[in-house]
Amino acid sequence: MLNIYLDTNIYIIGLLHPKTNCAWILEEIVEGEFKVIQSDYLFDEVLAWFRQHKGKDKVGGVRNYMLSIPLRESVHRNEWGLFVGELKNEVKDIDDLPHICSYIAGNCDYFITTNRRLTQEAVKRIVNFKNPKEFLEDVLNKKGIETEGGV
Amino acid sequence: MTTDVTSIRLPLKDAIMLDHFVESGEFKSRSEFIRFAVKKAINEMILKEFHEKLGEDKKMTKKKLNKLQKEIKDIRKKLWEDYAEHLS
Repeated sequence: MLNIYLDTNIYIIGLLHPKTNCAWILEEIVEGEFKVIQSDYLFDEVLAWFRQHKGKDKVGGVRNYMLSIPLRESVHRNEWGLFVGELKNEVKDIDDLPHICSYIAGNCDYFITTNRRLTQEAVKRIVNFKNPKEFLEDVLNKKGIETEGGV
Repeated sequence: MTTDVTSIRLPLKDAIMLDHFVESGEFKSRSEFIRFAVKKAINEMILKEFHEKLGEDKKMTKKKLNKLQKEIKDIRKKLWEDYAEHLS
């Protein structure tokens, strides 16, 4: 079974924009074909965005959504934190590091993101980045939706 | 894991099919199958509810995407400051 790490942008776009590849991926993970790796950092980031931009009352629903993914595993900062020292020179922005470390700690096969900047950094040497469209096409053999940046 | 026991009455046909998946090794037990099915249904319903109530039909343009990335980045910077304190 493949382990995948979905970046914050995938949850936000996927929940709010039904006609995107991000939403399609959220529909696919319901089938339980992949194990979705999540971290405390990821939860805090997604929930903070919804709190700031959609209101406090939406936060509970998003949390429930993320917790109800049938096959998921949480990586706590005590686990991903072990890789911070070793990987800190692999990314330009240190604040991206917890996601990369969670990917490593969760033994992930793919890191799915719409953040093109991150995918161009030195860390691509050890992280298998895919944008949502690439993931659907290269891994699931489905014809992705034509969207800006593969979102 | 704290659990709550719930008895369910299934049509015989469904029970036989459920047992088929257990016997073939897809699931360890009937309980495991039902837990998976319930979680899947909850996840699907929440996603559907989100799309119906908050879903936007408008296209995700490059401008919107860049704006979202910036919003996430602002949150990420602040979050890292909090986490870094606990990691060091």
